[in-house]
Amino acid sequence: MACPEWSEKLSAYLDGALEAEPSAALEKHLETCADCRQTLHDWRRLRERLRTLPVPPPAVGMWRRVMHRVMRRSPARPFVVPHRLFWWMTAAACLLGAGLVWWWQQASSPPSPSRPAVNLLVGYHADTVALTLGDCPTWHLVASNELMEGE
Amino acid sequence: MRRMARARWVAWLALMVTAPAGMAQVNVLSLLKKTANPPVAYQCKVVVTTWHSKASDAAMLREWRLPGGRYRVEYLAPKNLRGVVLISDGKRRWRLVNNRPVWQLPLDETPLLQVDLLTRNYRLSEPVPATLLGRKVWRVDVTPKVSGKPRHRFWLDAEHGILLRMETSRPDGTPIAFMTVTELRFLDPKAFAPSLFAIPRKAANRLPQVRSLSRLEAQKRWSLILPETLPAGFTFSGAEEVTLPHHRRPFLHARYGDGLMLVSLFILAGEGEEEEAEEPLLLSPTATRLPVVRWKMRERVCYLIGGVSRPLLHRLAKTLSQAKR
Repeated sequence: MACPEWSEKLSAYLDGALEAEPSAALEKHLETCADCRQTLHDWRRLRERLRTLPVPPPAVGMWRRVMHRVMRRSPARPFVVPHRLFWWMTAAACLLGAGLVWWWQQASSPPSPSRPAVNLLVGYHADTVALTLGDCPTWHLVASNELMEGE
Repeated sequence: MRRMARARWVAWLALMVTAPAGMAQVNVLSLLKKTANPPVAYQCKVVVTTWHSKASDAAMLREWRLPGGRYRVEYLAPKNLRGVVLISDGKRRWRLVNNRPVWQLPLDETPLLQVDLLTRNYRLSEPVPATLLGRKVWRVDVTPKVSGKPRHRFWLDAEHGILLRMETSRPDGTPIAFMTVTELRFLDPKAFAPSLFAIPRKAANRLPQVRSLSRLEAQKRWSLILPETLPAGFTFSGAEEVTLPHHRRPFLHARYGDGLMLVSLFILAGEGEEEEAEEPLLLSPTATRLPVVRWKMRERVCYLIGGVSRPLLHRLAKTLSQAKR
């Protein structure tokens, strides 16, 4: 039976998880304490024997049954989206957003003809008229404003 | 009393005899001919205001002009039009936006002021002498002989015919546009930097392609009737087929002039939509700065655009839509 104050440290020492300083103190104690030395020896032998035991293969369908039970019993199972599905959903959301923006623009702006905008034709006309008086600034201004809006 | 009455008669007679002699010294028609292409090099600053529907536009421009139809016009204001520049080498006129050519019109295809047609359709007032920018000018009122056209008042430089001020108004006196030169400086043509009139070297893809057509050619190519004359003194003055950048199909642009004003007939092929009316229809007054009438003709859509009254434009459109061989 190990000394009560060294018992926990013996376990950590066996696992190699003890710091250098307490490890040195324990080794010093082991030199003088036969009980602790015996306990450490017993634990080492037990570990070696356990390692030599054969590992039985799991029963057929064990993992399936375990996972089934885990899934059924967990009350607040987090929703995990598969990686590929996530990207598809993101793309769909982007498309939907772009569609909504386009629809909003179409709905909020006056209907524009598919042919050259009327402003462009008015600008072309005013530009032509401007030339009759040597590019008269009055008509030039009308043309400029219409062309800006028509472009 | 009798003496005073006699003196008045003498003074009136003297005025009647001398006034026409004084007016005969100025030939307004020759001055108007000079207006489109003054035979002198100068630089000026111009302020323009136009009123349309319930809104108005104003601009300040700077111009450099050389004899031979060479000029450069730049916008100084408003902000959204700064960067718009017009350059003419006497044969072609380019519209640049931020140094990029976006528009080109052949000058020789476009009619300049047609004085004979002008006198046929407008009454020119006796020129009244005035002074503008320290220069002698002649003020001339140009009144249309038919209703529906705007009135004009020109202030023409007595020496070179430069249009120093112009007022355009409706028959009831409501202003449509006002233009005035605020600064004028005559220069030696050599003082102008050649770069001012330099046409951009790179031929831009965005320029419209223009092909001039005679009336008969236009009729044949577009299978339609373009009358030689329209009501209110408008006569056919030219046509061209234009292909705008980013628009595959060309459109036909036919011009009718009365010596001062132009109305433009645009015909767009194969673009008709179901909702378009066969009858000429005036577009909303707020849609554009000038009145526009639209109608459908077989597979085509026609637009008539002009700076005349809406009833007159509608009348012209009706004549065009009903034109038959």
